[in-house]
Amino acid sequence: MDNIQQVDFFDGLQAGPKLALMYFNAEGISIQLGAYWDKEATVLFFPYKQCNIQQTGNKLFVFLNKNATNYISFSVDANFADDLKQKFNQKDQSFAGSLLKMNVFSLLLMVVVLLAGVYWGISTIVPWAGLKLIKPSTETELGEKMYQSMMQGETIDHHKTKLLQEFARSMQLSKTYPIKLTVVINKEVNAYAIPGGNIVVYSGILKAMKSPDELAALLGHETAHINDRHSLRSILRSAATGLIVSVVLNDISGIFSIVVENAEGLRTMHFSRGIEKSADEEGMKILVKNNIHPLAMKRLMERLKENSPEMPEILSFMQSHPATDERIKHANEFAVPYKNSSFAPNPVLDSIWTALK
Amino acid sequence: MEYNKYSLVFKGSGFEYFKILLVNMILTTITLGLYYPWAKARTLHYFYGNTVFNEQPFIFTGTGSQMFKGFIKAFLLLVSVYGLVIYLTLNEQELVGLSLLYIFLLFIIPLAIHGSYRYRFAKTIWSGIRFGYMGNKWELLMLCIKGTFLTIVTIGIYGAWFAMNLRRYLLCNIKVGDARFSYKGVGGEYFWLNVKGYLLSIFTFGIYFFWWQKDLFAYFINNLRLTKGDQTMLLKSRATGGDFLALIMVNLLLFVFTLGLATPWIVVRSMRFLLANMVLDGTIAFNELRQTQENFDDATGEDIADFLDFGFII
Repeated sequence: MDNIQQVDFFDGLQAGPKLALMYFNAEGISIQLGAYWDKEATVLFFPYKQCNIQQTGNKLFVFLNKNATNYISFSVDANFADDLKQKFNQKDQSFAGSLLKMNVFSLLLMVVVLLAGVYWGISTIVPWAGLKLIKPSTETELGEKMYQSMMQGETIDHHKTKLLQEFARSMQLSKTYPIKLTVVINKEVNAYAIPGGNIVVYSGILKAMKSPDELAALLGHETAHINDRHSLRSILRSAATGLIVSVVLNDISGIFSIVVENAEGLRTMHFSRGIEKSADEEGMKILVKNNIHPLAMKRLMERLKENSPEMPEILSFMQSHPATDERIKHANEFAVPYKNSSFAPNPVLDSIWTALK
Repeated sequence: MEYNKYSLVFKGSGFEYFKILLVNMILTTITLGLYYPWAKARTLHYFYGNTVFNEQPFIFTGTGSQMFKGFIKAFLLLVSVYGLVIYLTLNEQELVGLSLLYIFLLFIIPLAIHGSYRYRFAKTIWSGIRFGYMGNKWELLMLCIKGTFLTIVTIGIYGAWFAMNLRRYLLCNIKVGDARFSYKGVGGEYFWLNVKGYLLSIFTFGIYFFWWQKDLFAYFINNLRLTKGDQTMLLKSRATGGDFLALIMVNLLLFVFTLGLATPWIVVRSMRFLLANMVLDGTIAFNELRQTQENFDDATGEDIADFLDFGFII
């Protein structure tokens, strides 16, 4: 037999290599210990399906059992090495095996596409499921706790709070959430909504406003945030991002998560600009429902603009709130169909307004 | 007895490892994480297979399916414990829940280390000879409970002694065939090494940090040896603080300027560095090493260790 090859054999009993002779055919590998082939002596046969091949440096190793205690080794340059490798390549039909044979750029592309898919999936599913699972009543409960802790250290104007609450009661604001108002003594021209129904209005913004319509517009805007669960949405969005970063990206490397977080920061800005715009629009719908001209929203914007420090136009993209001008324009467009409608004055709101002032 | 110099080299390349990582990521993602044990097996197989001692590679013979079984068991165990803790917390029993969690961790970590060592070393083969971990899980548990307790009582100072006792126990119980590892590092030396490293790092604005790393590596390597009857192999580190400085700075730059993409190359070059800086010599005739260790297939400990994210401690 001329295709008998000399190899190093490891018998799994003692560490050193033993001289052995080997030949292989379609089924497997046959091995006999010793330097000369003896037709009478025992031949060990190992079918390919229990064997494995591995290259380390310039040597090939064929493991003859799953425990890898028996193996043969020989140089990669041996004339039969390629033939034997071929036999093992035919054996490996696994998906992972075929992936490993692909080039690195295709693999990289696949990873990028998959990660983008996962990113999209998680950032869609988590907020969707969260909005389904968290009931408005739970939101109100949690919102109340948030409100309690936020009000610590603030001075509440109880008289104005009562009046403002009456003002809100005379309007139709929300069917799902109990709208609760608080006036805090603070010079800043600001107001915000807490998920679940609380609206905090600073005395500064009350002072700046010139008509009851503007106040109605403000309440409309803040109520829209509550009705459309904007805070919950953005909390869920950051939860989803956190999940993506920790589950998918943490395993790769820290720097990826920094990149993702920054990109996410920009997206959040965009998201909150969208939120403000939609709250303006929903707020104007509330105004119409309450028989108040939607242009009041525009006047409110103008009032905010008068009272806010100038911001160069170029930065408006970076701002979390859309540039006030943009919002004014938007409010104007919304009001176009109502140009010729007449809205009767509301004596109740007017009288509370006078008291508030 | 003959005096020998032994060689230990890492022959893998960053490029191959990069490909393995990509394939693992693809498969892990499309299987929603279930592929993880097979991915891990592939990575370990690659690293073992490219680590060559005296011309023969190490081989990791653990399989994805063995580790998958452990993965499921570990997952169920941890989910039920965390579930119980969360349930207790939600029902205003935070303290009970938390103490339960700490007690559970105190017990499960040593047991996971034990399982992990048994599996990992039973699946490590060199030259056809199996490694093995001979430690007793109750002894290890007692060591960890005592260590944790004294570390808390001494506000962390005993930590150095605990770390060395643990390392000594684990390493002294590792065998390869009929040869046995031993480690003679002790808490006192390790403690002062760290105090010195910490203080000098502060005084030198961090520059001494690299020399501190060198000392820690040397303390690990120089105290390790392998004995077989009356034959021994000694290990010695020849890395200098400057070498560590170059290694860590280059790694850092590679990482930052490739946004982390160079991670596989960083891992591979660090591996090469560590192995290339060990000098091994002694009188052990490795060709006469005999098979003595049993096989062991349960990978649960290995997987619990993965879930708790403490990896493979030495």
